[in-house]
Amino acid sequence: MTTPGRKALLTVLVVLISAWVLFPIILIALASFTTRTQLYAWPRSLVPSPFSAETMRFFVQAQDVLQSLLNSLLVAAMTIVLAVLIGAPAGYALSRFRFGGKEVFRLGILGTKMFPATILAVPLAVSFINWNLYDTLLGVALVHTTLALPFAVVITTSVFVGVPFELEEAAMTLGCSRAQAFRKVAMPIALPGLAAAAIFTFVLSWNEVFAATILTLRNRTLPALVMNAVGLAGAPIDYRFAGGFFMIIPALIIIFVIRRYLLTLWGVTVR
Amino acid sequence: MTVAEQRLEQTLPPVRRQAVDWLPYVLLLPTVVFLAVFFVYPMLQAFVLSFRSPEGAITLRYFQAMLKDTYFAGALRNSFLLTAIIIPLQVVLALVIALLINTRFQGHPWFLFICAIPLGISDLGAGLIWSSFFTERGYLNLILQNLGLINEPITFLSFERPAWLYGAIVATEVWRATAIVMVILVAGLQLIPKDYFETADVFGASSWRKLRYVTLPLLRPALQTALIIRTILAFQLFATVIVMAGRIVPVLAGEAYFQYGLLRNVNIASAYAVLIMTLSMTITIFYLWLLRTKEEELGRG
Amino acid sequence: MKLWRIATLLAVTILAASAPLGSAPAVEITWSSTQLNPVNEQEWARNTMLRPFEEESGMRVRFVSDLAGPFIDRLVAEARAGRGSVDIIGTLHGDYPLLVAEGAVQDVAAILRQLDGRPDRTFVPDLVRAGQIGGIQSFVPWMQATYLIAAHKQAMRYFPAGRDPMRMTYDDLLQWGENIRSATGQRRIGFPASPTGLYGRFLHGYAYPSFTGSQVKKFKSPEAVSMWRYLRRLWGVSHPSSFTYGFMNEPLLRGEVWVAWDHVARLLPAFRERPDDFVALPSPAGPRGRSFLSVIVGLGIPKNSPNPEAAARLIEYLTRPRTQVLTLQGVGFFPVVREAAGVVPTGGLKVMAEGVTAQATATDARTALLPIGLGARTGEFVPLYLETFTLIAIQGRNIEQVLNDQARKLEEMYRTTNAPCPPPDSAERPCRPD
Repeated sequence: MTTPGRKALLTVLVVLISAWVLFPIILIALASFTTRTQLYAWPRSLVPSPFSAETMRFFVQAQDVLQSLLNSLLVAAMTIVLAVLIGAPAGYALSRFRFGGKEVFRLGILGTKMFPATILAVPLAVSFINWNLYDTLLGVALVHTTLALPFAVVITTSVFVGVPFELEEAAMTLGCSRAQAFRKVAMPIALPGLAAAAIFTFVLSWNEVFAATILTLRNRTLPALVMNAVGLAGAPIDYRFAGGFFMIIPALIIIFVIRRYLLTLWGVTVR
Repeated sequence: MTVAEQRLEQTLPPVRRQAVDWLPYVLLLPTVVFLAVFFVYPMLQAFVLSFRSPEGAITLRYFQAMLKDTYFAGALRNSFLLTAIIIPLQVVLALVIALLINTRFQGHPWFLFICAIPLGISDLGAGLIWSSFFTERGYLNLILQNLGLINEPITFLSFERPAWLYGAIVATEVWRATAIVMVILVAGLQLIPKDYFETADVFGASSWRKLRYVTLPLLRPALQTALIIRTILAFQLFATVIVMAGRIVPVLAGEAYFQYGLLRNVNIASAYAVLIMTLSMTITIFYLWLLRTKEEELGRG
Repeated sequence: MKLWRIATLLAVTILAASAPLGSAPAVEITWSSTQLNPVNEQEWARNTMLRPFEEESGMRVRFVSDLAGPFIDRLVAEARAGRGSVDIIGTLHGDYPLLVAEGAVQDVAAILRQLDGRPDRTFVPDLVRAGQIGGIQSFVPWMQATYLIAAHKQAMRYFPAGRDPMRMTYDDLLQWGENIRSATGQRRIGFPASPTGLYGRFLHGYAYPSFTGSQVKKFKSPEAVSMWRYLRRLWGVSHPSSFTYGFMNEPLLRGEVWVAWDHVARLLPAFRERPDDFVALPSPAGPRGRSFLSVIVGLGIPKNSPNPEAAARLIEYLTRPRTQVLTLQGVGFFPVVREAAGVVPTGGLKVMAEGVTAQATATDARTALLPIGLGARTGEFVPLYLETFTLIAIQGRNIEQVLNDQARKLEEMYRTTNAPCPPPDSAERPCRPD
């Protein structure tokens, strides 16, 4: 089918687009292995000579970096549990039932994405102090869950749509209750998709900056720490590059892990 | 109606239509309660802040103050302009990527992975990367100089060259946020049954005609979703803009942030938030309306 | 079922994580500060400044640096909620009027009296007076700073011939920029004009008083008009990326900028990195003298401080002459107690200290202070000057018209808050632009 000309065009396009995406990441990776003195030099070579772990070490050893890394992981874990436990039932309902108000619910979910989250942090800060949630990791996780929940609902909907209802029906005709049919049949099939949804939630939580900045003081997450240092506290050039690269690494790994599910995740968003 | 929806239709158990079934509502309840507490409640507070005077009366003074603000007109214009430039570029690029992936060439899973990487990178991360690219002593100049194309570094981020500032912002945003559009479009392409293309092949349609008359019309729902999500997010864009252009290129979400963080004017910040929400809603309704008419046309044709 | 096991595991994680992390030592106090914000300085504060205190007192200090916005929000919210988590604060003198008005800080007069009575320290009276707000002593002076010009040595050869850089005027600065531009084709004067930069301070605390002898009263005077004309020309020889600069040490070290005006703490990293490459120069003089801002940082105790006694001990430690000298060497903030003066630093700091001394002791020197008394509207003051700058220098609007419009906003702000004029104007209230 493909003529040689088309194949060449395809190759060129694929290479060009891949380069466009990868090039900046490679640059920042190289920079985070270059010493500060070299980074300030002009003109300098693109590739550090020699490779130095100094810059990375400076960042990792900076105060609070490891603690906030742990904080970020804990917040993300809590966000995943909350978002999936709360969102998956809604996703299941949307995928299996026809009911009054379904469209309202769908639009409402979309609507939550329209209000700038930055502004929500202001009233939330006051409420959180009264509820004893202020400056706790749980508080940050709750806000992240709020941000992730719409996506969790949308994604789990498409995951469950991918699980044929006939299988559940068959289980029910064989004597299973509705709950049993769900647990024994639908759940195992949906599990990989749900896991992928969970990991997507992780990315969202890992990258969130503003709520984490406003709602925490001592228990900073990593992006909040780096944001404060880089955007507002004039971090030196090496911290900037190392921090930037450090925050990209989990993204690389996670997208790699869930690459097979990326498409199922967004199946039904397309409605 | 899309393929997924049709499939959903067929799988729905007919019994469910007779009596009111409370199960779906019970399943939705946790989501609704959670969003009510952590989203709707603070949002209503923000609404109150934007409409209520210190004396407790309903007032438009904060909206008037917002309209009179020096940066307002520019912010409104830039938000629309940037959205209008960035989104078409993202859609075209994402469509190209999606079509390339859809050819199932050898190694396409890797290509998908590479193109999806920015999905996991925050606007902060992207801002860090790209600002180090465009500064006077940044990578772009370094490369140009190493290639011998320039003798002196060029100042790309200059207030005298707004077009270049726009360019830097557009490049960053296209790099960062095309992935989401791409993923939605690839998913949409997968839902198009193969028989459509086989039929088109039988009639000997060219690739271009297949794209124009089969793929694009069937991809419309996916395109609409991508457009809605991207437009909503584009109106909230500001972190990358501030990194590249400070306040020389004001945008609505950035002004909301400045009113809150810099001027400590919570009321006007809330007014900006309400405006952003109103604009997002209007545009979403417009897209939905656009989708509906097109679908009917398609049905008739 | 596996899933439930995972869910339980994660639920336990939630419970574990919602409890405070790690086991706390016997006494831990939280110090929230808007100062020492840069990463290096935070590191320094924790590892060098606070370590001896922690060793001698057996307490642990959590030093938390924050932006002014969230910082004030938190204190006000904690005051309203009647519950506090912050034991001690360190912030600019200009933040205290708002905190006093919100009832968010305690009177520290007793602590100050007790410290001042010790033989080893005498607080500079001007600084103590700046802390008397709303009938209470709102803070104990901690450190002070100012703003200077830093110049790369290679820029010195373009300095206007026959002129003295240590007695620089605004005309010299402009000529310097023009010389650099005509010799190299590049604009190498830089200002921190990004939203996180302090360029606004240059406008209201340096340029205005130097050209008009006033920060607010002569806002739209004929002298102000000629000042804005000057600033427009100066912007024309400034680096066109200035609007992206937050901290000038970075563009100085990268070599994008040769001559930069900024807060000493934000220039210091450049002097530390390459002490032999840079010189520190006093800010320029205008027709009405060489005005400079004196920045005062004070230590306060929040109303609901969980442990005010520990906070008082920390204040005692921080104002010791030895700690004050350590602070000067570490972060370039200058001492507030007389006993610490006269210590000669070395390296980049020495260069910088000479610049500070040259600025403060110049015969035409004039001190301007940050505005006070604007209460909840303090945050609008600097942006108003920046906005004026944007309209005039960047958008090129008509100067007189812009000044008239902006003066109206300024007047409204001062009328509603009934605030006094900041020095060098006389302290009449409400302050009114003529």
